Amino acid sequence: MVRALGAALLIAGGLGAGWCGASALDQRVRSLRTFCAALETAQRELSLRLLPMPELLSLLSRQSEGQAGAFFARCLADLPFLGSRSFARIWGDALEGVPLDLNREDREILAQAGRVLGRYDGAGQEAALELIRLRLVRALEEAEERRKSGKKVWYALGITAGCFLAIVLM
Amino acid sequence: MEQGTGKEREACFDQAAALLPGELGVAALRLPERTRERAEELRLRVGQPMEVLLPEGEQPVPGGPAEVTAGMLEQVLEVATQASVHTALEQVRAGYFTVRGGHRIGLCGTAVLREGKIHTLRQLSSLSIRIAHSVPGVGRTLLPALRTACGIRDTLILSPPGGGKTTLLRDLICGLSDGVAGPALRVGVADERGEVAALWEGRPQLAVGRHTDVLESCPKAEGLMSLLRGMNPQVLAADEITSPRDIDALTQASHCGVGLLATAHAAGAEDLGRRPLYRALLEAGIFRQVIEITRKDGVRRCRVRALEGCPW
Repeated sequence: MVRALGAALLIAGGLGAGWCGASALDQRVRSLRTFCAALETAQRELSLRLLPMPELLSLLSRQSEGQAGAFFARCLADLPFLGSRSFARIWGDALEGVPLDLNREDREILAQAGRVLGRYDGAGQEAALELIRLRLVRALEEAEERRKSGKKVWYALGITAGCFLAIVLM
Repeated sequence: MEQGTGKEREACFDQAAALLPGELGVAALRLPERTRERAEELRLRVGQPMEVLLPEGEQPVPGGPAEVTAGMLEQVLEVATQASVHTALEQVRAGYFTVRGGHRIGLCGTAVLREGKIHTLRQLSSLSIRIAHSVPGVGRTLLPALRTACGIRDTLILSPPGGGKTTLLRDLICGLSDGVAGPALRVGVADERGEVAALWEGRPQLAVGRHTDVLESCPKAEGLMSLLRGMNPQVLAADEITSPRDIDALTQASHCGVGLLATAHAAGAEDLGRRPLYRALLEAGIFRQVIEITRKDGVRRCRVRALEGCPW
């Protein structure tokens, strides 16, 4: 009875480890999706209302969920340091400083937005943001593909590892 | 002309100096108190040290970088617009824009043309920050010359650029609105560049009186007509009449029983009469008098002149 319970716990532990690995893939997809939506909002606000950067960042921090919201809030909080730091630097520092479930390529794509925002006319920024957003959408599609196959792999690995440990240790 | 209190002017200088990045800002804020109180502009030119414009002329700001760089000018632009150049681009095309506090930033550089018009400035070469400050009471002695039994005489304020037209206009508006030397009047201000009242979150940063309604960032011609229709003003005021449309709007307003107060760039009434745009304005007989601001040995003086009988 105790042995059966131990084996079940080991398998469940393996499954849990697999679930943790799979959820990291979920989080990247969720994060990319939120940033894509935020960039779309920024495009719209810049082309229609020419929102100043403090208002735009405030809007994005309120509208975006989780980590993306924290990212825009950090940019907004650091705006008073303009003069000692450029906006591109403030944006870059927030990308480095706020924990985001994004890989290096995703961060590089987002860093480009910091070099564009607030530097050109509304139409120029909108066009540049569109290119960045499209790159981010491609990264999102790739992340979704990876999640689809990766999730199965993680769960399979987890169960296999759990079963293997149960067989070896029992 | 009276000057504002030293502390107020120093505070205005400090607010303008806060637009400067790093070393430039530190050097400007280290200027002696007396210099900060009298400073009219901060001037930055690529390859030259930063200078401060005082009534006696330009002087280098000690302790700053030996040379201003193009990057520093871009940083000033970024700070001044809060990283939102797109919000100021329309004004940048006209060569200057106004920031919080009413300070005016003038820009020079290489123009990018689109369809024959300036689209933007590609490479900045120089920049000036004109420090806005109200000078309470500067127009007090002139108010009796403006007022009539139930309103004001339509008056045009004239001076060359940097002569203090906007400062005088602001104080006259404040005096009329607060009931100095007569009853309080409702004043509507078409503040296209945001330099007269410098609204921030709906509140004027510079004193314009208790009965003043400000329409900001709207072209003067539309602004004057909108104020006339919507706010029932007794006096309409506008800064820097520069286009035929402004003159058309003033002409229309003058036939509605509203007093007019405006400014224009000119050394005096004769100078104004030599320019076709303003000649039409004078010939129409809209303004009954001008206030000419002159400067001698760093001291500004105002003179009220009636326009009746002038050969326009």
